[in-house]
Amino acid sequence: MKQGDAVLRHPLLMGKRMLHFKTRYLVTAFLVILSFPALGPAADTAKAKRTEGAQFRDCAACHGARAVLPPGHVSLTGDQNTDCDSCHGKEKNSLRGKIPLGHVHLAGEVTCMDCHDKKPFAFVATDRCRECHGEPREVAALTRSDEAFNPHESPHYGNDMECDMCHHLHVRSENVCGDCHDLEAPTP
Amino acid sequence: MPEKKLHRREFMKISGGTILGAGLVAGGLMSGSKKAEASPMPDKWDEEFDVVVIGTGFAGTAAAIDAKKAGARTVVFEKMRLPGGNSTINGGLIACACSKLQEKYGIKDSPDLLLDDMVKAGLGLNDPELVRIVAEKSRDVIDWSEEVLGVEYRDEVVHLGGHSVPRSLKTREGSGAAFIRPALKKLKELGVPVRTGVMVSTYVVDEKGRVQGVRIREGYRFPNADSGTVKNVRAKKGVIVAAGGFGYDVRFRELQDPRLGADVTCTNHPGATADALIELLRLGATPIQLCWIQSGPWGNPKEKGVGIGALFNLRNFMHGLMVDPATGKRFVNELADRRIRAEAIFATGHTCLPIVDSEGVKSYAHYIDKALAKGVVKKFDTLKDIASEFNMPWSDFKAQVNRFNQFVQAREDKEFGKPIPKDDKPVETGPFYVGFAWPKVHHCMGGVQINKNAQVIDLKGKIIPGLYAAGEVTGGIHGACRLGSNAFLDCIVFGRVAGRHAAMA
Repeated sequence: MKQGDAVLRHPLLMGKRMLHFKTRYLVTAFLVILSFPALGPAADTAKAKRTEGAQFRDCAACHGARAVLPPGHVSLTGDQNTDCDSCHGKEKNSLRGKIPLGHVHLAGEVTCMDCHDKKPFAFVATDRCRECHGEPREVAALTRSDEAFNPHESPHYGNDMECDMCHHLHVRSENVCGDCHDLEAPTP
Repeated sequence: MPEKKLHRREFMKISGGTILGAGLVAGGLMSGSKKAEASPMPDKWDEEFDVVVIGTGFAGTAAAIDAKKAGARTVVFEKMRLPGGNSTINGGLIACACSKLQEKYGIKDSPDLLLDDMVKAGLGLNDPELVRIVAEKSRDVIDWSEEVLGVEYRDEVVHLGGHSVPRSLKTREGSGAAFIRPALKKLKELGVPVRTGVMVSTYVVDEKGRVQGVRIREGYRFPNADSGTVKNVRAKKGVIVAAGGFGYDVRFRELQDPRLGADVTCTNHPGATADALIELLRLGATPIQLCWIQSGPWGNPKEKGVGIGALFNLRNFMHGLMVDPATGKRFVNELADRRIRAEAIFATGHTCLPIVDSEGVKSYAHYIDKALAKGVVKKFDTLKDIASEFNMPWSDFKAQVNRFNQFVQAREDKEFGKPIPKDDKPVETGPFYVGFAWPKVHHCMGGVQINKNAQVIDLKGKIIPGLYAAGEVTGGIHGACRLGSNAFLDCIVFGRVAGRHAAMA
């Protein structure tokens, strides 16, 4: 990654791997893509196959013939170099927390086998997340703010929380602190 | 918000469930020797320790620290992926008779007075020997927490319901994490492995009936019972079960108390299930008072769990009055024990209103703006505004507040016997603050029987060798009602007893 590219170097966006510019753009765009409210309820992905060779934009590989995009959504395949950001870049269209993180990883060319090593797909320990995204205390430092609630630093659990307690790759993420506390935290 | 009456249930549903539940429990208890219900001895053990501790709450961490310090090779297994159970999310209050802070504030207290309070709230169901041990050790516990773990307490003594005098100390951080986090750090320093995601599925018992170890599921992902890899771990000296209560387990709690179905919310973490208790019962441990399940009267229905809304109520009970909005009148001593208050609120059938004025709210000053912003507390300029908002009969409400204020001035509550705190002022200076109270399931007083050495006792009154228990999974210390801030105390007292005795075995 280029020096001074502070936003793109942010571990929450993409971890520490070296990525091509085009991919970085896509990931940035896609992260903000997680904003389009219509996509959330439209798709029933409970039965999605987890196809090891799945590529970003190849929805059918995992979802089969089922339509996962809302009606009228621009096609993701084909010749157009669809600029996701133009619709999803706005905060109010954020899909943050509405679709599984596996999609974001695929967009960043982090494939299934990058984390799962081998078939059958075993549960991946969060050591793997740390390889790219850093240690919990590093992530906590990034999300610290004056708002008082830091989702990565809990007075009850310190930095012991495992990434995937909240951040899910194959189902929607959740805000576990919100189980007890009325704390707003759209969780990617 | 559960506005319906608690008892409005179909009769058949309750009786069917209860009969089925009683049958299940009885079936387990009458299945013969404890050998039949435990796991057979493995050909070989995957790992060996002296002491295996189950649970990472107050009792489990205290037990592991003392077991290790007494020379036992110790391991701690925690079924959830996060350590701390209910302890790390609790409100950080611990009862202490004769603390330095009580001395500073001129509060006279004694272990005997604490004992009397516990037995009174417990309706005398408390095991006399066990309750005395807890009452006599409270100062030791505070000193130990300060010296060994560096726990700090705020400069105040809180008066909680059912205690005769203010005696509850509050951790500086405001939650039990103030104990759990240093305890986990201490365990790391002592070289005691604490393994999360490890579920103890059953006990391994030899032909003589001695608990020799545990069968675990490593890599367990709650609540999937089939997850994880099965292993056998030896505990040469003892297994200490500090697995907590079952408040979150709607099925099991409803069997014990049919009023506590899914429509009553709960303050506990989701892992507070009956699995560990059920395994102990299957092994033949004696169940004690399982139907005595406490609901916290300070529960605020406008928030999840126990948040600042509940904290407001808790403070409010000290300084203000609580009314039934249907009548505008008080209906219970605001500082009675939790059982009395919770049952009284449940009996009204709807959320009730703790009220303080701008003087009484001072001890809550840190939270009030946030509470108002969240809507868990409401602010009113005058008492009449409160009556209008909640459709209370104004003349009755006004007369009640006047009577209450007279009691405050006379330092004697002639209606409900609330102990009026020293320096308390009448509720008369606006603005006024109103909270919301509807109880939430909070603590299981009942559990397995233990003796004074934290050894688990079977149905015939014999010690089950190699098996210890401490904390909420045990029964008999609190009886009908646990006083606020006494769980923290009990868990550490018996956690340490268990740790030391297991190590000495």
